Amino acid sequence: MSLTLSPSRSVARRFLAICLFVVGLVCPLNFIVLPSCHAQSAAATFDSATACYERGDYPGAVAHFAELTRQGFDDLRIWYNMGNAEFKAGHLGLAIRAYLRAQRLAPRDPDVEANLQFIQLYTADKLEQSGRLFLLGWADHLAGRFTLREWLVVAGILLCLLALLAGIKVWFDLGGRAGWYWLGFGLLLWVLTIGGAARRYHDDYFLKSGVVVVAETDVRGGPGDDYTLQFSGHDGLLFTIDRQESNWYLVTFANGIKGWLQVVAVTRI
Amino acid sequence: MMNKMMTSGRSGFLVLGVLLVLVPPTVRAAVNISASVDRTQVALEESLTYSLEITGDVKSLPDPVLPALADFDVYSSGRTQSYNWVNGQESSSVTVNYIMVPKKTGPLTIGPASLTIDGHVYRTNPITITVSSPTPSPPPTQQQQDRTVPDQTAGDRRHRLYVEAELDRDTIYVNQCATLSFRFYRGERLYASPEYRPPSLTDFWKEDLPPNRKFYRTINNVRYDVTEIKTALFPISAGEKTIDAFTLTAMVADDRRRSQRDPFGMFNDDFFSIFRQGKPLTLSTQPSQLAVLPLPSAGRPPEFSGLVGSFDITTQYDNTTVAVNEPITAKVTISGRGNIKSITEPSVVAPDDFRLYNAGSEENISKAGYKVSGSKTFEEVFVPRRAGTYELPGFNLTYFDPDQRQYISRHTPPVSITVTPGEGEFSIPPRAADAEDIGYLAKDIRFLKSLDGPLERARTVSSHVLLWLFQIVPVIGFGIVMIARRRRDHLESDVAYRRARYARKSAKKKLANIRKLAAAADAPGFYSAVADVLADYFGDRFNCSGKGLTRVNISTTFEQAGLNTGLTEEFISILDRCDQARFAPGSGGAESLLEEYARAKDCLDRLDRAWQKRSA
Repeated sequence: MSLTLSPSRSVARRFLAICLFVVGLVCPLNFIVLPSCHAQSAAATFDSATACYERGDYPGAVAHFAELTRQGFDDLRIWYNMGNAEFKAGHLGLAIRAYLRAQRLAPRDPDVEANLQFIQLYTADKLEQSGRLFLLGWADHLAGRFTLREWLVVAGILLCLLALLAGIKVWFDLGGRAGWYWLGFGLLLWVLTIGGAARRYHDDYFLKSGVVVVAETDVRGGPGDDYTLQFSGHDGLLFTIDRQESNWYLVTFANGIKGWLQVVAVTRI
Repeated sequence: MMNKMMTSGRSGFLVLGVLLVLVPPTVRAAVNISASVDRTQVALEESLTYSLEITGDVKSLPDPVLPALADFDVYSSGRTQSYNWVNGQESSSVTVNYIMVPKKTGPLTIGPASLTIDGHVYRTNPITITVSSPTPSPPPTQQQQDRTVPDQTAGDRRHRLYVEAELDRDTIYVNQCATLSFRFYRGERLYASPEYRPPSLTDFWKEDLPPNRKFYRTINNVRYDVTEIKTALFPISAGEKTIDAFTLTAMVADDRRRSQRDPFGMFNDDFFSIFRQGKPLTLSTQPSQLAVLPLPSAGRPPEFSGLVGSFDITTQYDNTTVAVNEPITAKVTISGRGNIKSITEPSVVAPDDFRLYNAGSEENISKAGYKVSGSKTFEEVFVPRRAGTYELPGFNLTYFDPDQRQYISRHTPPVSITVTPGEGEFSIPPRAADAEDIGYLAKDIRFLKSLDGPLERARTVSSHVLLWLFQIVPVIGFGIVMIARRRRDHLESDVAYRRARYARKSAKKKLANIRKLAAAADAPGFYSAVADVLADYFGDRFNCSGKGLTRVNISTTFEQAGLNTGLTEEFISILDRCDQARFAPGSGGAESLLEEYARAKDCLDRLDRAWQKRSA
């Protein structure tokens, strides 16, 4: 039995085939050619920014780096270089913000660490950390030393290893009671590692922090100029944001003191 | 022997019990009494504290009896008592204190105090003290002798106690020093240390001027013991200032109370009522007035910071030849008389090629001679940006001299600095920094990072989903291993389960061989093999022997298992045909054998499905 198609159906099928062919051709191009174009464009912008920096046009360099971030790039080199440019342009708070963003991507990068430490010497407000348990402070520090991806990979590998060993132990009945203790210890390590990942996840995606970006701003007792002036915050003063009320943020400083800051005087990290 | 020992032990316990019952509590109660003095050498008219400490394991302790003390005036100074219950044992402790003032010089003995409990008398050891002559007082000046009582309203006419407050001047400038003196005149003995309360001085910057001065003063032929407390005051604003009253509360003798007693009441008095009673007496000074003048606006330099007094300024540089980015520390010392704490950082204008940081300050305040003076040293750090020879300008200090009533400016001389080339130059915004940070300031930020690979795009929350899921996979894997292990254990330990589990598989394998027999038209072998497969399947499935099965047996088992009766009949009919064929050779060719094979296979398949369905 032979199949005979009517002319109209045949045309429709051909049209459909051509469309599929085009889509099939274009889709891979989207993944291959377009990113390449974007990358070329981004690289050119990056080079322009570097050139601006080298000839002393720091605001120009900042503008180019900022353009890259607006295009969706989130790269250590962009944020680090932007921090340098902001600092040279005299924007201490914005420089700190850029370095902290860079540090989020590469927590152990020595250049970021050195520059951040260096420019923080210039901040007028040097706040003592509020009294925290040593262990908690240490845990926070450790969580900040690795990226979320690193924490997750380490935790995943650890868990795979644990599952493998536990599987071998269960299947072949090896190790006895001591084997379970070792596996329990491994499980504790995994819990700590996944805890580090959870902490980092919270810090990266949920913790709202900010920095003062004006030379001096008032920290008030309420969301308005009528409230009591508590003290003055200066460029580069870091804080975490508790909530926003109209044009004011309720913030907590490193020393545990809370206060209200005008939104226009700060920027989110 | 053992019995003897046991008998002896029982006797011992019996004796101990009898003793515990018979011995009176007073004997079991251990009571101690001891006496002590705070010092054994005193001057005449000075006092000493005599303490009696009584401890015991009884609930209440009687009062001690003091010896005759004709050579002393004795005052009760209170008692402290504690009661403890430790491990079922009660104990009390009482400490009774007395103030004793000797009446004569020489060695004096305080005899033993005693305490009587249930007829048993406890005594302390006697204590000998040496009383020396009183310290000679300085001869009063004529002015002091002629002086009248300071302020009758600030004292009590029935007691020789007075207080006064005095300012050394009544008109000063803002931030100029005025000395406020408070004096307490004591012409009689006090029962306790007086309580001194200065006024709150909110309009002043104040400095205490120690040590408190003590001297004697004779007024109306009465010698007073005077204590003087001085305070330096620096007013912070202009206007008429009122310094509120000082108050002092002293414990003095309450003679009136004793005189109002029933003359025969002494027979009802307890032991301690023989001592004199004290009462608080509060004395207050008159408020003082101070006129504070504003600093003159005429001739006030713009850089004047409010410093008042008489000062000088000096500078000392730690180095005058440095490399680029190396710090030079200038120690600027401002010294003089006045409010040292109000000295602010001296002004200086650093050259453009230098960064200037204040690295802290240090105060040194002297109160010698009841005058506030001293110095304040500032550390100023200059960091050169470029090589060359520079002249650092001097530091400027401006203050108001109240004696000369004019503003005075002082300057330190400029200093020449040579800056040699360093590692590099940089420009950074001038900012304050701490002294310990100066080490870092000689460096710059690290240079830019180059683009040695493609730029990374921002990661979203979802970009980590796979990594989070990655945490679940090993857990699932381990769960599978656990299930497999349990299944293996089950198979190993449960024969019926194992036979049933592999019944179909085993039958299927055997059927594959039977098909070859069918194809080869080997009827006897075929039917025999089919009968064996069905019997073995039945045996495995129901955990019984497949040999010697009867129709009744098969029907009953299938019925109990709840399987379809149609299947039962088919199963039995296949077995019947196999039996017939085995005993009737030559029946059927290859085609009929293959049909029989298909029927047998279909029967087993349906039987297996029915079994699975029933199990589910």
